[in-house]
Amino acid sequence: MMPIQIRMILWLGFLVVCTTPASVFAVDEIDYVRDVKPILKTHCFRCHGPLKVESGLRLDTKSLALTGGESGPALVPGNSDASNLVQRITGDDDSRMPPEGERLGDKEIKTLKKWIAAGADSPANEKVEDPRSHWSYQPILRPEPPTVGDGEWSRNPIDAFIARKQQESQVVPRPLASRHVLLRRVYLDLIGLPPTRAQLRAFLDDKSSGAYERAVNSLLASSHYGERWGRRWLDVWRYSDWYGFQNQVRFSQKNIWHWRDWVVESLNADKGYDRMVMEMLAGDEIVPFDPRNLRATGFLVRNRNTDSREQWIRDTIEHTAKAFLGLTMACAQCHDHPYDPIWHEEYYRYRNIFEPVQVGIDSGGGGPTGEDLAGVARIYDRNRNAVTKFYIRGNDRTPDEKRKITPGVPQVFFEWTEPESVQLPPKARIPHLREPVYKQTIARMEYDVRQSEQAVLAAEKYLAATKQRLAKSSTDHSTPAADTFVIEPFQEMRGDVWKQGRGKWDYSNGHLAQTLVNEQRDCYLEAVRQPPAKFTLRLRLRITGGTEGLVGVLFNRSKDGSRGEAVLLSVNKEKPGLRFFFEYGDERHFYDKYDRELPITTGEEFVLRVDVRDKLVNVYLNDLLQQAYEVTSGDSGDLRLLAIDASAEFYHLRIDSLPDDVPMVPARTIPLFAPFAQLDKSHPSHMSLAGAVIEQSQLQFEVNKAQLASYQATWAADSWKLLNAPPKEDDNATKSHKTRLDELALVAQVAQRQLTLAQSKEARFKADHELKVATAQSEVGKKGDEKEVEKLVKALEGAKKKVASTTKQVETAEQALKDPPMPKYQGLSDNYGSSSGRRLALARWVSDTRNPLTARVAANHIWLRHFGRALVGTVFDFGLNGSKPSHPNLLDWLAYELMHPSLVLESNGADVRWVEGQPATRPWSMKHLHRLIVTSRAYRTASTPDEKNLAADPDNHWLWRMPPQRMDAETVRDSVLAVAETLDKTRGGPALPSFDGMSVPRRSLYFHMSPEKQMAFLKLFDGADPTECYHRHVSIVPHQALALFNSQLAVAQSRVLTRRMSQQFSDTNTFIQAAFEQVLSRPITEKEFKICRDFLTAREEVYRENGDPASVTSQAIKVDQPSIDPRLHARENLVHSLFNHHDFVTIK
Amino acid sequence: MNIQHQMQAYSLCRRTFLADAGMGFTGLALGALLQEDGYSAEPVKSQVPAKATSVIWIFLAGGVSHLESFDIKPALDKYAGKTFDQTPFKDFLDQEKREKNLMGSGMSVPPRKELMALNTGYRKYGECGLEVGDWFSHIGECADDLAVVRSLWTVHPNHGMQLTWHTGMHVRDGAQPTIGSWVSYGLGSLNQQLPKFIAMGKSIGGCCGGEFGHGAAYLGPQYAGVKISTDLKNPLQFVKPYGTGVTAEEQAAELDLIGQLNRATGVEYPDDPDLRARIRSYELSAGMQIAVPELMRLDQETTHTQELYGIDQEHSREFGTQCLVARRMVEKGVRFVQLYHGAGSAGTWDAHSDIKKRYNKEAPKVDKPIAGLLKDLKQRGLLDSTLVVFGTEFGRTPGAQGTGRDHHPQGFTCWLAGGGIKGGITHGATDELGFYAVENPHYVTDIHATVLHQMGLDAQHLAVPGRKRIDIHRGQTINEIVE
Repeated sequence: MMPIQIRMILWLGFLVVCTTPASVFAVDEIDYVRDVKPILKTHCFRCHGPLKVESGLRLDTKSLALTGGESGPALVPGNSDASNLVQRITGDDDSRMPPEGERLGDKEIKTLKKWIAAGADSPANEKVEDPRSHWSYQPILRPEPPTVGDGEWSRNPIDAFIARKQQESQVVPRPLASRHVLLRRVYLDLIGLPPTRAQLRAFLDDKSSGAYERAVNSLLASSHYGERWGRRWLDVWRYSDWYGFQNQVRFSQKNIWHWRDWVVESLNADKGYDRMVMEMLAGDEIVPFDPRNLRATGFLVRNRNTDSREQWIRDTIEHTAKAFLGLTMACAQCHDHPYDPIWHEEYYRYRNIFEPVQVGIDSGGGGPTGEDLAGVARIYDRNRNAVTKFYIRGNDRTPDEKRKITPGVPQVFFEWTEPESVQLPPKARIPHLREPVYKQTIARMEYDVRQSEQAVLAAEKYLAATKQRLAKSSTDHSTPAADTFVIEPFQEMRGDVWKQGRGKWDYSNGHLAQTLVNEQRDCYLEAVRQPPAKFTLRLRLRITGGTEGLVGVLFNRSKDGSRGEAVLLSVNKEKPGLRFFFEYGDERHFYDKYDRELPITTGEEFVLRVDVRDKLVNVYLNDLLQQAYEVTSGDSGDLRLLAIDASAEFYHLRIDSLPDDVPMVPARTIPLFAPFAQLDKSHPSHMSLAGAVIEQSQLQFEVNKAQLASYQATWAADSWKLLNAPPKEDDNATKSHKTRLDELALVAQVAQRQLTLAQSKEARFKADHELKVATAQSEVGKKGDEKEVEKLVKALEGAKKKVASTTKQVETAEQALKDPPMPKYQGLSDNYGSSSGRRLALARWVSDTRNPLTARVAANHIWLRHFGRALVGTVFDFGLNGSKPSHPNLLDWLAYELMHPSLVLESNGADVRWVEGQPATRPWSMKHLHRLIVTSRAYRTASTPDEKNLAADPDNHWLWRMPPQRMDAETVRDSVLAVAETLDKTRGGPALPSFDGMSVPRRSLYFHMSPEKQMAFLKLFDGADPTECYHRHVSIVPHQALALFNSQLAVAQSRVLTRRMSQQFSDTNTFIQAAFEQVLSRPITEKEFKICRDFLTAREEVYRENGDPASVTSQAIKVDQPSIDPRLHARENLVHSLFNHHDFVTIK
Repeated sequence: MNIQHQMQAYSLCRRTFLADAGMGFTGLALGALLQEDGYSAEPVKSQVPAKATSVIWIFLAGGVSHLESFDIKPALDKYAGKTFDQTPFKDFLDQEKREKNLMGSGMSVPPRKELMALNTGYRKYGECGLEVGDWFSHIGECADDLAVVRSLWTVHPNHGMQLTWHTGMHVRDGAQPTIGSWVSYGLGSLNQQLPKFIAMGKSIGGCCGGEFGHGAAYLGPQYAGVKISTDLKNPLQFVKPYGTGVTAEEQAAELDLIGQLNRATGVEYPDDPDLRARIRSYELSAGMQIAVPELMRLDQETTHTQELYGIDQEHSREFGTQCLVARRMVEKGVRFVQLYHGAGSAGTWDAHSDIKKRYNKEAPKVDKPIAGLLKDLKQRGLLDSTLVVFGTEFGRTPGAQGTGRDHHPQGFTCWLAGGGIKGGITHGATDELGFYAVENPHYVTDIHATVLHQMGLDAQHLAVPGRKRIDIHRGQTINEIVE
């Protein structure tokens, strides 16, 4: 068996992302710097280095090792076995080193021994390296841009830094990109959409100076800028819509799209980066009751993981540190950070900041029914005193109970200001005091009142209809007038009635049988015609086998199958009876709460009756009412006979329209009708049920009215008390405030007592009926076995007790109302309490201009997205294990300029340059940085290669050219729509279903995005991984070709565009040129023109020969088919091909 | 390190460098494509001599009972109904012992104290006399081709283990390269019209890794399993043009135009790797449009072959189809075919209750198809070069959980066949009750290392700079089962 060791190694698995391989090769000559020091660094420096000097020993230079610590020198040059170091790393007792984690490998030990044995040589000038002196931990100063002469590289400090490096590295920058290339580049970069043909032409025609800068300004002012860069930041900030198990939210949260909208709006408003970070971390503590602000905390909400609170907090720690600080904090979870000066305990201190958090949704004044779309998913401190435990070796099973953890940040950077608890104002503590929430609640309650009023009317109507029917039935036994939709005796296949779907359907022996079982998918027969919207259906059938054993009808099914409702008979041994489900999108949800468990078995014959009117469904089995419920959608649709892993025989089906005067049992009356099971055959029992339904609905009506009144009275008292309190020192005002409060409190108390009475009456009514059910069941069950009888007797006793207790409650409530009222009432609930202020302290520390990491990390992310390559390659790791900046001074200059903008763009005739001045932008303005970058010479460089440069700098390290990039996923999709001029520019709102992505022309960032539901098209083009995406991968795979070649998006949009353009450009030559300009935003070359011209000629020929009509004047053709006109058809092929051109998806 | 080894390491290093650098640069991400296209100087050489050219990786989701499949324990019948305390195995339920290798909190499974008799019969098969439960009698007929590893153990007693089975890492480590993606990453293509790594069947549930089960994580999406459905109508996303009326001739003409225009645009960008890769991707996509539907042409197979895979029977049709398509893929040179069975949520093999009824239903869905696959590969001479792996995330408890058995990570079984694996042997063992892996215990990644080894790759040297995996994530080749 693998020993404990393994477990420990596995725990160290957390380390994996942080550790680098110690590349150890057997070499003859041992070199201290190359071979020895890295080993010591990996295994020893953490405790015996500049940051921690355990036992007085340091091993970070050879001379320090020789000096040694409490146990004497670590080395005896020339004698490895006598060296303390070797003894410790090879020992087996408690003194072996390192004390935790993997021991040194054999090769490593060999290397060290060999080095010592050979005399332990080292360079004489070895210096102490202190990780605290790492470049990114130093304060950000403003480096002076180098002087690079007076040329075109001198007009923007960015260029000075770039040009200096190029000069040093002897690469020669490529010339300026041509203007059309540049315009497309900057459009796609800043707004994620290519220029239209008109925009392109206008720009090319504008030869005046500053034309480019003006274009940049208008792009930055466009609201599309926020969408483009919002999506980019959402990569870094891990945007994900909710996901989980079926419709259960387990990760992230519903309504988190409010945060996405906040990001877009904040960017468009050029809110400072510092402010954005602060609001994301602590929006609820900064401006606690402003829902617009609360949206920002979606950043933290996104980490929610209901499966594991541990994982939730771990993700929060890891990703706040990676996103804002470029720190790999997660490494310090099990031990001190192996590279960076972050202690094991600091990890837990940092964790303590987030320990209190919880996720909530503040209702937000949306509509009274359905999802509360306006509700904001937000973070709050649930327990401001939450304690963090220090986990020994990061194992949550071994917490160190003694160690007390206080909130903190890594000490190495700069001190933070200790958190102070934040007293939340009443409006923040109690969302109901906020106007929209109050309004929303009132609206919902008023809706409930109206609903229950309607229910009373429906119940009365039910009674009236029943009476009428009763009167009529004494003389006339026919059913009310109805249109027969179908009578199907299942004698033979009738193609005019049924379309056969999956399954094995046969007509024989005078019935229809379905015999395919053990199929995971449904077997079905679909009615050719759509049944009436309101119908009554009677199906005589027998289930003969199958494991799931579910057979029934699917109705209200939409054409695309994305919606439908089903009633099923089940002979499944685990759940026999009636079952119900609805379908939404590609998911199926059973209404478990409506299940009717009935002792039915294989081989029995049943008559299933389903009455459907609007959303109301009544289900009968052998004429006994079994269920009355409301479906999710009342929209009518197609009908199917359905068999789910079941074989069945069908004998008769009849569907009639359901006249409005046929009584239907209202929904949610389940406990009521059980005693009246023989409903359909006995009109008197119908009467009796109707009476009960009326009583119940009236009681419900009373409850709802009392609820509204009570809420209003409580709200009035609370808001007077909490929002209108006068200053304490004003005695008079305090007195009159109290008088008014007492009045309101009296009203509130009476209203609350009335509510209690109404509720207890309703409870008593329910108890009465449950007793009736229990009595009836115990009558029937007397014949059953002993256990069963015992159970029924118990249930009966319980029901009796409940009647007694509810009766008592009613009496108490009645008495209370007789008592004189007092100014005491139950206030609105205090949802949020006070906040610990820990996150606010963190937010201030992160966004402080003294923080050496924040601005550098942000500037690097921005640079990466403009140039397709970052200045620091490891964008989320600026620590000692991260990569070094290619242009350290440039990065610092950008970071400084981000925090303290100091340049303005000056235009003096043809000379456009950045000079010192007072920019109109605020500190931390991202638009300022974008403007600086995209107007730089470096950004405007051509992307064409050059042999000499390629040889000198193949990776384009020194930016001698603009790296050509493939559009990211969203840009591909959005550009297709933009080019076709069909893009719906509506901004914001709830996430759209991802399966609509090929047909709904909204921008890509508005579609549902989560690990489970990501639009296939976007995924294929390397769309962001919603779990982590600091840097997008880019691939070129055949699936992308298929997606752009065959998808509805590409095919339909190219046809739309062709047909529209053809109306404008009937001349073929002009059309070809215009198509190039429209799709690729560039002029066509002669060679390309010839290829296209030949193609069109050849295609037209083919289509004509194939017998297509010579010309078609009417264009009433759908986009799912090519045009009939050969000329148009050929043009569609051309435009579609241009969408698949390398130059379409490439940003040059 | 000998020179040859160094050379191989170098070539792989270059390869990994190409892929890694590609995180920032599209062009360089195309190591494999370029190399297959003849643009890259060195082909990726095998690190060790390859025995197999393709893998068919079968995964049964939910945790198949090892006790009633390939690690039969007659002692269970003997002690059935007794508690552990009433047997010589009193100490087996000791908490510390049971949970020794488990990871994280809340990870244990309650002890199932009362031993449960076998729920199926069993008998010996083949010359080797391998005992196999009756649920897998067809596979039993292939006993002499199987190497059964009976001593697997793992750290995760829950279904997150489904991901671990494929990545070798804990589910909370999230997306990591899967075994198939390493093969795809490490080896060149044998067919220019098809992807190297294809996955079929329903992906594992969102609880347990979802699409990560055939992902490539940091190796890059081009190495991930391409999901191909055996829904004969729609085997590949976007494989057919939208709408109606588009002819193949028309598509070919367009592809030709795209090729011409792309080549014409390259003037200013000579030798642009992106451009070449895109041209190549359009060519491959055209190939896939034809080759993928062609794979699904099962009408090209004889009735006898279809019957061999159980396609003629309702219950085994679906998985039989997958197995047969897998064989057709292997014939066309696909490197790694991953077949999921019973996946989605916990998995259909998760028999907490009514194990008898459940396996009576589940086993016939796969038994004949898998046996058919082995027999068919063998008769076509493909078994020598095709490695078939039969796996699941863990076994099931010897103790009863009502009428079922609970999750059991302390000892369980998988088997391998073909591709240079010894036939007719068992390796490793659990104790008399099938509780602990006691003889030659193997962590699940040893299966990965063995598969890679047979494909000519050395698990120890498959790595991407900056993405270190520790030993246990890589595993070690099980030399005893290798020919």
